[in-house]
Amino acid sequence: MMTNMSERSPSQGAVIELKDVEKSFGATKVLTGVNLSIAKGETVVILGPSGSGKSTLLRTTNRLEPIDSGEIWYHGKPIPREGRELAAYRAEVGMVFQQFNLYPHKTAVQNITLAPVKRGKQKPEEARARALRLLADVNLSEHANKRPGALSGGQQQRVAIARAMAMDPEVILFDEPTSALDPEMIQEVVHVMKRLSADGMTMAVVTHEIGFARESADRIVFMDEGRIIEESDPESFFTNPRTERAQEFLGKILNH
Amino acid sequence: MDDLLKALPGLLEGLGVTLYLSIPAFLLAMVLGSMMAIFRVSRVRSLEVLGTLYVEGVRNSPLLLILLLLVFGLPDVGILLPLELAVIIGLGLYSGTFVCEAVRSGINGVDVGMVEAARASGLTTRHVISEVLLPVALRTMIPPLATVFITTVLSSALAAAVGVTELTGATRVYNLVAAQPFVAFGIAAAGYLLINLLIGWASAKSERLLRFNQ
Amino acid sequence: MSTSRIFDIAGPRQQRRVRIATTVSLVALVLVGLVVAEKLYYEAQFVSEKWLVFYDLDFIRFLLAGLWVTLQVCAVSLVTSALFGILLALGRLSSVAVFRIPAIGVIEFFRAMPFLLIVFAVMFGLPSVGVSMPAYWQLVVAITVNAGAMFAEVFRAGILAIPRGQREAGLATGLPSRHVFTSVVFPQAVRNTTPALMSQAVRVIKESSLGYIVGVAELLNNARVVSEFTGNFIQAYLAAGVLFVVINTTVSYLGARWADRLESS
Ligand SMILES: Nc1ncnc2c1ncn2[C@@H]1O[C@H](COP(=O)(O)OP(=O)(O)OP(=O)(O)O)[C@@H](O)[C@H]1O
Ligand SMILES: [Mg+2]
Repeated sequence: MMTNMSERSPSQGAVIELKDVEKSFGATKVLTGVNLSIAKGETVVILGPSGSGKSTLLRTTNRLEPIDSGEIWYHGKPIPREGRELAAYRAEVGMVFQQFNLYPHKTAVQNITLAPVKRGKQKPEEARARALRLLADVNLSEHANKRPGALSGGQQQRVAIARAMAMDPEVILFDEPTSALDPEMIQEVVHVMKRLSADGMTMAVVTHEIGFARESADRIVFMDEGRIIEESDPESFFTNPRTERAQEFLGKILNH
Repeated sequence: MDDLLKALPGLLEGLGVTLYLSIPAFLLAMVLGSMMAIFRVSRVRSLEVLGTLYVEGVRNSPLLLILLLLVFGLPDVGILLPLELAVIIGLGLYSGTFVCEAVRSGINGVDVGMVEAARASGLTTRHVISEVLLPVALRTMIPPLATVFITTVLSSALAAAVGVTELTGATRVYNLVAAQPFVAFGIAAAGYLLINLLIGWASAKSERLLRFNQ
Repeated sequence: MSTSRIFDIAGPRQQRRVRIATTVSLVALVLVGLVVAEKLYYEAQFVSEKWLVFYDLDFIRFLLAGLWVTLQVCAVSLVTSALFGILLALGRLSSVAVFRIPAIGVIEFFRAMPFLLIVFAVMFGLPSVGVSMPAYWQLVVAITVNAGAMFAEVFRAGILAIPRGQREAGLATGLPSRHVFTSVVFPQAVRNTTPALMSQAVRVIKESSLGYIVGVAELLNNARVVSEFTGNFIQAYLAAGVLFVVINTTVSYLGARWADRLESS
């Protein structure tokens, strides 16, 4: 395993693979020697204390942040650095944000159809029909023509997930999708994510929802101070964390 | 009442000239200001510097000085513009700096997360700008741009100082001839108030129409 | 600026494009510069006598004398406008309608008037109702009326921005409400509004150039004298422009520095 990881070539079957990724903001080192590979159909949950670099890890994966050194591969090829190629790559990697980030001037349907139509992936009517089906999947049929301002946080986040799905992405990155939600809305979003995971979507999820991690994760990745310091299956991570930092972290979030 | 009727034609004509100067000047300012705002975010160093020099240089000069340069300076280098055109250019140059600032802060005020979501969804830079950034930013720019428009109308009064008889100039002329300051200045004030109210109303209305909620 | 988060960080191709655009625009700018220079040269604008005002000490001294008057007018006007503005702001914030309504009327009215119209009203309107004064004061009065209305809004915003809690805390310590205003609310309002006041100061400096109309020997008026005396319009006004820009950028810069300090504290 270790020898395989240090070789500078993509491993077989990985959708996304990060290799020795380093990233600093000015003088602060945020990612240090990060290696991670996500296989097709896998749900990887990323845990770690605040400031450990989880968001940055996801953001570098679709190049919202460029990296200083190392490599990121998508299906065995380095991800594009700019231009149309980068846009095309991002179209295959969905992203769901903590703050939903819907377009405030567009309705739920328009939020979903914008990228597919503008990328020429679907015709407008086709995209609309698809969007309505996606909204039905997340139980929002009756809100299709509302603007984000008229939707609750949980509803907005479900629209955001539908928006990510509309591009038929190979993988979806979730950055704390439930952290900005009121407690009673968390479950509606978690429910959608669990179903996606069960349907075989490839997902990388930063979350503090231990229930989701236990049930849906194929693998837990634990980060601390910009490094991945523990990687294991959920069962052993939650019952028997190896590192002290992970024990501390679990102690904190399980007791609160 | 009689005095009012006597004063009105000249002052109304002045009001017409005020609009004739300030509307094209504002349009010019919009074009120039938006262009300079784009320059200033373009990452092309030379254009950034040009934009900064323009904004800082023009915004910090008195408009009267700019008008004097255009009206009395340009003929010295063999450029003879019609008086009104020179004034429109001067006004447009001056208001353009305020348009530039309004556009820039409108763009900078856009929620970064929303733009990142657009980028992350696979939209090209062009579509991020045309479908997400501008539609959202334009709405927030309406009130400051309306203020710039009002300022342009008010600034156009300085045309009177270089010999164009717009509303303020007509007021002075009428007062000189008829010696009726209350009538003259009263009508002029009413004219400017009306323009202010109209622009303010249009701005509030269009802002309401373009609201996001519901 | 936060454009780096609005747009993607430039990759190698984008960087190359930026370099090309820089080169092309530089060449274009230089070409424009050359055309202008050629025109100026052709119109004999480069003859050294034309630029007298930039190196002849007598002219420079004359312009600086104008600048000194500009600064004086502005200093006096800033004080009077601030006083008038505070009065109007307090009026507008008052719960007594007799104070509030006239204050609102005055503020909104003068904000809607062109500055030159106010100047004309002071120059030609006031004398016919028996109020006449020297040119210097005509200019100061016109600025005060106009800038006072602007200052009033700045002050009002500054006062309203002070958390209610602080006011109440002041009252709770037993200070009488007038003292709470002068010792708690007012100093903070001034501190917080200084950047906005600085940009109003730039406005006042620019407005003082209407000494040209009123007949006050300030900077622009002196530039006019130089331009007529030498016949070099462009150079005379450019020289005045340089001085205006230097003064105003300095004031703006200080305002921006103050704003930064406020933000970081
Ligand atoms: N744009 C930025 N500029 C400077 N520093 C940044 C930037 N983004 C993140 N950081 C810093 O990088 C470190 C990692 O941030 P990151 O957001 O990736 O952490 P995180 O694990 O997602 O934390 P959280 O759980 O609070 O979301 C932090 O110290 C943060 O302050
Ligand atoms: Mg985070």
